[in-house]
Amino acid sequence: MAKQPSLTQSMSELHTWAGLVLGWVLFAIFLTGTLAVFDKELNWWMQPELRVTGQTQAEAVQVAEDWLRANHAGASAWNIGLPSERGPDLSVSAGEQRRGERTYLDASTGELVEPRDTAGGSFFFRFHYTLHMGRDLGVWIVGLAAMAMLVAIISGIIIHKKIFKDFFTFRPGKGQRSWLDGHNASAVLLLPFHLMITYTGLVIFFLIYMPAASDALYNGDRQAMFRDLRPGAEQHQPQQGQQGQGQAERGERTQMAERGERSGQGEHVEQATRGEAPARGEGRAPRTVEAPPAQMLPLASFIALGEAHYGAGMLSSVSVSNPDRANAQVEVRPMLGSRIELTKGESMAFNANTGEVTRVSDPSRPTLLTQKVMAGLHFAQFGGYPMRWLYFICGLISCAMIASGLVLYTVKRRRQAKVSATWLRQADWINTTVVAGLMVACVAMLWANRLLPVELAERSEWEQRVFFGSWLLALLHARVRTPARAWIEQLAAAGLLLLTLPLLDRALSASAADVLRLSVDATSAACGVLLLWASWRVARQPAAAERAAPRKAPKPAKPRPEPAGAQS
Amino acid sequence: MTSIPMIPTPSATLRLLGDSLRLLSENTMPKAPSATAPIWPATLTRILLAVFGGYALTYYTTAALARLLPFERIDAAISATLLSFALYTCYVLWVYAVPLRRGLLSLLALVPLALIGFGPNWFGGAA
Repeated sequence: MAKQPSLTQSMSELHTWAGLVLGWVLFAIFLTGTLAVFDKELNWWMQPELRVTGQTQAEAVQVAEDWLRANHAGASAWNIGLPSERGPDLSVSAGEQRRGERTYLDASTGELVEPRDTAGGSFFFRFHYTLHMGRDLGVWIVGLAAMAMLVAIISGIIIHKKIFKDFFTFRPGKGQRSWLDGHNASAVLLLPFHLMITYTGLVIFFLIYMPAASDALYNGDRQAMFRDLRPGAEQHQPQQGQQGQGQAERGERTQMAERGERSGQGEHVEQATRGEAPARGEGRAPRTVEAPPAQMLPLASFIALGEAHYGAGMLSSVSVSNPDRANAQVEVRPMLGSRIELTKGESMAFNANTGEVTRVSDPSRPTLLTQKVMAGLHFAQFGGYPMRWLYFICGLISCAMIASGLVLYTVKRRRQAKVSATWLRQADWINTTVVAGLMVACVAMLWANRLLPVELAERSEWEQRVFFGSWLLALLHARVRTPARAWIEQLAAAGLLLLTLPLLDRALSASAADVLRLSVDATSAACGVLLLWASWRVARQPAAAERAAPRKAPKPAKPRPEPAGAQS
Repeated sequence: MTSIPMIPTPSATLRLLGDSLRLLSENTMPKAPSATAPIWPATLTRILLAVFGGYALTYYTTAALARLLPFERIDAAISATLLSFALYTCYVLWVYAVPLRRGLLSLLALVPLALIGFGPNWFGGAA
């Protein structure tokens, strides 16, 4: 350390540090994030009791209105989640329940449907940004990992001087070199995507991660900041008075979430933390004394009014505060995907008795728009299914890049005999657990969704326990097997489980197959084939790796990065 | 250098602590790197500097930037915050590209940055 190493050397050190230490976390974030691209579809798949009825939103909302009037006439608010292409279910709730507590209705008959309790695809979505550690700790760790990713990407570019030449270089079956080529190719090929998805991920929570500007310019008073953000928006009662600089992060965040839910502002910070069903079940009733009864316009008529503003088929939910009262108000909310800008928290309000528009969200000011477009780029809610598939595939390649980088670390170190064998052995089994084991865990959860008894208490918790339980098993397995065997067996296990998932689905679910569920089945089978192929390549190739690996327990020269990173 | 266990044993940890103290007292630059020259203390210092020093510097730079940008208050706050992640990244890369001593010296910039960003809050009363 006497003299300063060259730029390439120091960047290489940085790349290794940032990449290895947080690479394991990053792989989990990227894999679950990739799955979360199809969170609604997985939700639908995981509740086979629900069926597509083919009703229009206007017909469905009529059914919901009749049911709510019959069952919750005196409620302070009604919330209706509309059927859509990605989630064809009709759900309702009454009162101020924020989340959960939804009742599902059959949109054609108006009868109650009771789907199984499931963690759903939303589990992957939440895991993606909290790592199941609770919001405060999880969000910060994910933020740290994202910063490490950003640093690793830029330092990777600096190391990589022959960026264009190497892009066309791939030397398969050559052990470490193949790994390096695969890592480079997947990194360079999708460099814009990697950068975009990482930076926009940080931007979603920008005020949580970097409260400096609001601390300095607003003395930490978030409410004052939100007032400036949306000057035209109506103000409901202030929640807890002014914010002091010293207030704990948690308090601030809770308060922001509160505000976001009540007034539809503040969503730019809390948008993701508010959960998977953004527009549903959020009671918004102003606390007023009861107004006299009044005749509301049929809710179906507000669908057309909302669509006139947001576009046909772009509504996600309708809610009514003080239903059937003189002060009744209807709010319609757009789906997230109506444009690139993330529209979470946006809504349009009407007088329920006259149909008169009482509030439209103002267009965001340019700086806020920048932030929301960045967040929207991350959420990938725009552009429909083609865009969703593009994000899914890019996400898989990102996973492959991270996984190949992790494997490359051990392959390279083993070859140079630079670090201790003990440490390499640790790195080996952690790699296997994080990459292959996580894939096994994800599929295991889908299996649990079908196999656990429907009436099981705390069923969704049990699904999660299966997820973590199988991950733990994968860890133990990776510790007792040699690295090569562990890789082969875990990849094969994940592949087999995925490949047979459609059979399980068809065997156990009574519901008619619809396009969404069949697509999930087909995707699962395709990924299964990919993983089995990966496992087969690893099994076939250990000889090639021995050359590079003088020690026993050789690292397999796995063929190319995709399989390792391919997801469940 | 010999292989240094990545997961330090207790004795290695003690040695490491001693080394890092010595290293700091020697101005972070040991004159002659011996065969057992500890790379850990320097590495550790650099990591801590990059992560925590980097965050602190980014925090106050963002605050100062928000003050200085000639936009409306809210626009300045958002713009500076959106840029902050890029600043942080650049700083981390820079810390790795320069000698450690210069990296440590960069922490001195905290003082003026904090004064620009938070001076009015602390002394002026106007926020």
